[in-house]
Amino acid sequence: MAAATVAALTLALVSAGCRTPTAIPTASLLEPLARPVPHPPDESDAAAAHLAEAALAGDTPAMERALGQLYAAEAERSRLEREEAEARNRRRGPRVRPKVLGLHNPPEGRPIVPHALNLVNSSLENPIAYRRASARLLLRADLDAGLRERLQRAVNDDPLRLARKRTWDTRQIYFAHVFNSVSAPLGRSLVTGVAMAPYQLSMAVVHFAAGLWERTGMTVQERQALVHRKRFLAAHPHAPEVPDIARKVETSEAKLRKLRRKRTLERAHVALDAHQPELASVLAEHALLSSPGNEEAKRVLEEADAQIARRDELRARSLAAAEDGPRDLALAPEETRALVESLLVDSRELVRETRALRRAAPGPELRDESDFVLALAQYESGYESRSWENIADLAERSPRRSNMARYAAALDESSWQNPYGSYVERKRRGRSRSALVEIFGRWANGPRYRKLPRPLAYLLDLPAVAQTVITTPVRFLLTGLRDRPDFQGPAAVAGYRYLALHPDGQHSRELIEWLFEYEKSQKNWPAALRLADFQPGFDPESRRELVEETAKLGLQAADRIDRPDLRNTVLRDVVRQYPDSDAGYMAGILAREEVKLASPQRIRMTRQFLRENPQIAGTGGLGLRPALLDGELYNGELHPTGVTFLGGRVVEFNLVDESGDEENAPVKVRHEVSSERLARCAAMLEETTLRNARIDPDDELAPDPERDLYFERARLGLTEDLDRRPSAQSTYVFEGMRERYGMVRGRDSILPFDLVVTGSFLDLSIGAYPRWRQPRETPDAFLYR
Amino acid sequence: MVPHQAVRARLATAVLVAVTLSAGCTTAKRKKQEAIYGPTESVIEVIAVLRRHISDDTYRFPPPTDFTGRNVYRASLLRLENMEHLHAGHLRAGHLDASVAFAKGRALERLRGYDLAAQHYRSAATREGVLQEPARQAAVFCDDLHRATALGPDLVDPLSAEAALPLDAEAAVAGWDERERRLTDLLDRAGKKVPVHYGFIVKEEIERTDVARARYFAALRHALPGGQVRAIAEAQRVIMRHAASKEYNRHVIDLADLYADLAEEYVEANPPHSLRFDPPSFHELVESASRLYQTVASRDGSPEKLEAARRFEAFLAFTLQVDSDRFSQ
Repeated sequence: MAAATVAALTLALVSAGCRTPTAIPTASLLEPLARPVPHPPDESDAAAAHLAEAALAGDTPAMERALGQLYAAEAERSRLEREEAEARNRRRGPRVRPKVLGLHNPPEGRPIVPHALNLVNSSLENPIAYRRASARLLLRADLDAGLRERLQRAVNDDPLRLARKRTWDTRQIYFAHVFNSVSAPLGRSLVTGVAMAPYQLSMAVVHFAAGLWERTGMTVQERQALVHRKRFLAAHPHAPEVPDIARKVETSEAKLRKLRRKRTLERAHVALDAHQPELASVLAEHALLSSPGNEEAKRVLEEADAQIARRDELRARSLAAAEDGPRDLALAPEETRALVESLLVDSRELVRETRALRRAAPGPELRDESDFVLALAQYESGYESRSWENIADLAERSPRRSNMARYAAALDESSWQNPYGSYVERKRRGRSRSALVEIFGRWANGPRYRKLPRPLAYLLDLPAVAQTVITTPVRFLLTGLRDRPDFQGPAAVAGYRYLALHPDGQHSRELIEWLFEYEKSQKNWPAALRLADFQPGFDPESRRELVEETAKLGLQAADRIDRPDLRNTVLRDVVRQYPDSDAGYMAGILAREEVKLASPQRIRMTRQFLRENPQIAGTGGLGLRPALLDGELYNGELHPTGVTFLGGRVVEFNLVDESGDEENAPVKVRHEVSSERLARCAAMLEETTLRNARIDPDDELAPDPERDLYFERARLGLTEDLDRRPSAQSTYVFEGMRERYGMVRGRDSILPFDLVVTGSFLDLSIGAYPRWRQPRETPDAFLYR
Repeated sequence: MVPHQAVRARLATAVLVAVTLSAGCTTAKRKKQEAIYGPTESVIEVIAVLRRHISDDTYRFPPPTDFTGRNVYRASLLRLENMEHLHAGHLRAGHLDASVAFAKGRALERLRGYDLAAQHYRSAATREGVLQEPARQAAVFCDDLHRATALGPDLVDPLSAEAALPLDAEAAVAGWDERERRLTDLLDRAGKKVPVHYGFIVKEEIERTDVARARYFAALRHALPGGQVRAIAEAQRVIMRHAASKEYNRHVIDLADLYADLAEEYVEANPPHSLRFDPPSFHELVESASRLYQTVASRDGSPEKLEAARRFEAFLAFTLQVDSDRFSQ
C-alpha cells in the first residue's frame, strides 16, 4: 500500500516535472533577413534580357535571335547539369538526387524557355494566333503550374469556345429536364409501389409538356452564347469562320427579338388586366417598334387607348356640374347658404344647420348631403367610430341614387383617411391569407403553370393540391418549427398610420397593444420596447427583458459593421440607451477596447496560413523565428490567431500564453519592423497568394481593395504616413486551407448525376432516384436575364 | 320537331341567354361607372368634401384624393369653377358667390396659389356675414405668404427658358434666410389669428425653402469653393429639419442620389485602373449612398420604397464596372 502510494506520488511528480511551461520569447521574434547572393549574369540571363527588350520593342527578328541564344544557353546548362549529376552519381551512388547547378538557375526549378516562348507568343497581334500558340505551348511537359494555369485561361478565353460551351450547357439543361422528369416519378413509384408507376409517369409526361409550354424560349446560356459570338464577330471580322457565325447570330437574334416581344406583350396584358392602360399602351407600342405589323400588339394598343379615352371622359364628366343646376339651391337656398357658411368657417353649428336643411327639404334629394355632413360633424366631435360607421353606410348606397356615396367610398377605402378601417380590413385579409397558405401551401399563390389557361393549369395541379390539403394537420403540427411569412405587415403599417394621425384616438390603446404583440412576434425588439413604453402599467420585468433583447440586437448590428468608426458609434449608442442591460455593459467594454486597441489596419495571417506558406514566414518574407511555428511550447509558439499588420510598420505577434492553452487569449507583442522587411513580406505574401489562387481555385484570394492598397504602399516603403481614415482599414484574414475547408475538402462527384433520396411528411411521398445535375451558371449569368 | 333539332334549339337558346346575360352585366357595370363619375349635383356636395379635408396635415401626410384619384383641393376648385360657369345665376340668387369665393380660396391656398387665394378671400370679404372676418384675415395671411415665398431663388423649372440660378450664393442665402424668418413669423400666427391648417401650409413652404437651398448648392457644387461638402451638408440639413415630413423618404433618396452622383463623377475623374483612384474615398461614397437607399427601401407602405430599391440596384450595377481589386461590396 505504502509502496503504491509512493509510486503514485513519484509518477505525479515526474509527470509534473515533464510538463514543460510555455516560454514567452523575450528576445526578438524575428530573424535577420536573407540577403540575395549577387551573381554575374550568365548567357541565359543575357539572352532573356535581349528577348525582353526585343519583345517590348516589337522587333521580331531580334526576338528570334534572342530565343535562339536562350535555347543554346539552356541546352548548354542542361548538358552541364547532366554531366555534373552523372559525376556525382558515380561518386555517391545512383540514389542521390542531382543538385541543380547554377551559375544562374531559374528559381524552384521553373524552366525559363516556356516563359520565353510565352513572351514571344504574347507579341502576336492576333488573339486567335496567341490562343493557338498558347495551346501548342501547353503540350510541353516542362511548364510550371502557374504558367500552365495562365495559359489554360488564355486558351479558354476564346469567344467561340465559350459560345460552344454555353450551347452545350443548354443541351445539358434540356437533357436534365427530360431525364429528371422521368427518373423522379419512376424512383418514387419503385419505392412506394409499382402500381402507381403508370400514373406517375403519365403525370410526369403531362408536366413535362406543360413545362415546355412555359419555357421562356431562350435560356440564359443561349443568350450568353449569342453575346460571345457577337464578340467574336466584332474582334475578328475577317476570320474564315465569320459567315457561319454570322448566320448563327442572326438566328439567335431573331429568337431573342421574338422572346422579348412575347414578354413585352405578356406584361402589356397584365397591365391591361390591372387597369393600367398607360403602361399597357407603352408596352404595346414598344412591341410594335420591333415588329410593326404585329396584330396582337395592335389589339392591345387599341384596347389600352380605348380604356384611357373612356377613363378620361369619365374623369372629365366627374368635374362637370349637373345641367339642371345645384339642387340644394333649388330646394332650400337659405338653409343651403347657412350650412355652406358653417362648413367654411369651422363652425360648431353644423348639426343645427343640417337639421334645418332636412326640415326645409325633407325628401330624399338632399338626404345624402346631410348624412355626409352629420358624419363629418361626428368625426370632428370625437365620435370617430360612429362617424366611420355612417360613412361606410353611405359608401354602400347605390351610386345611381346617391351622389355622396362615391366620396364616402373614397374616404372609407383610403388607408390615410381611414387608417383604423384599413387596419381592420388588412388584418382580416392577413388572417385569411394565412389560413389559405396553411391549407393550400404553395398553391395558395395560384397554379404552377401561369401561361396555361387557368382551368387547365389548376387541373394539372389538382392531385398535388389535394395532397397538400390532406396533409394540412401535419403542417399545423410543424407550425412552430417553420418560418412563416409575415401576413400582418400591411395591417401594422395601417396601425402605425393611425397612431401618427390620432395619437390619442379612440383606438390608440387597442392598436398599441396589437402592434406590441406583432413586433414581438417579428422579434423587432426596439419597436416592441417603444410600444411597451406607451402602455401604462407595463410589467417592469418584461420591460427589462425587452431592453436586454434590444441591446443585444444593437450589439449584433455593431458586429456586422466593418468600419470601426460606425461600429463604435453603434456600440456607444447601445451603452447610452441601455446602460442597465448586460448587452449594454458588454457594448461599453467593446467600445472601450476598440478605442484602446485602435489601429489603422487589422490585416491578419493565421498561424496555420504561415505553416502552409513557409516562404512568407521565412527569411525571404517576414523572417519569423522558426521556433514560433514548430509546435513546441517550450521555445515559445505563435497563437493560432497569428500575426497582424496594424498599419504603418507595426506588426503584432500573438503568442500562446504561459499556460500553453491555445484557447486562452494570446499574449500580444508589438514590433516596429523595418521598411525593407515589411516590403519583402508584402511582396512575398502577394506573390504567394496570387500563385496559390491561380493553381488552386479553392484557394481564391477574396478581393479587398484596402488590403491591397496597404500592401501596395508597404512595397513602395510609403507606410510612414499613416492612413487613419476608417474606410481605409482592412480586416482581411489570411487563413490556411485547413482552417477554411477542414481536413478533407469536398469534391464534386465525377458522376454527372446525384443520387437523391426524398421523403416528406407533408405530402407523404418517399423515393430514391438519380437526378441529372444541371450545369452551373457562370458568375455573370445575372447579366443575361 | 326531330330530336336533334330540339337539341339544337335548346343550345341556341342557352347561347342566347348567356350572351344576353353577359351583355347585361357589361351594361350594368358601365352604368354604375357612369353614375360614380356623374357630374356634381349640389354646392354642399363640393364644400362638404372640401371641409372634410381643410384641416388635413398635408405637411406630414400625403394630400387627400377623391374617388377619381385627383387631389381633393384641385378637384374641388375645378368643380366649383365649373359650377360657377354653368350656374352663376343660381349661385348669385342664392347669395352663395361669397361662399364659393371663400371655398376657392381654401382650395387655392393648398395648391400654392396664395395670390389668387388672397384675391378670392378679398372678394368674399366684400359681403357682410359670418365669412367676412375670416376672409379678411385669410386674405392678409395669404398675401404675406405670397410675399414671403417670393424671396430668394425658388426651385428651378427645368423646362423654363428663363430658368437661371443666381451665382451669388451669399445673396441667395440671405434671401432664403429672410424668407424663412417671415415664414416662421407666419407659423406663429397659425392657430391663433388664422386656422391651424395654415401651420401645415407654412411648414410645407419652409420645407420647400430648405429643398430649394439644397438643390441650389447641389446644382452649383462644381462652381462654388467647397461646393461638394456644402451640397451634402444642405441635403443633410433638409433631412434633419423635416424628419416628420411626408417627403422625408424623398429627401433621403435625394441625398443618396447626390452621393451616387459623386461616386460616378469620382470614377469618371479617376478611372479605377488609374493610379489616382483611391479605394477608401470611393468606398465612403458608395457606402453612404447604399446605406441611404437601403434605409428607404426597408420602409413598408411608401411608394419611395420601390424607387429606392430599384435605384439601389441600379447603383450597385454601376459599381460592377469598378475592378474588384479596387472596390468590393
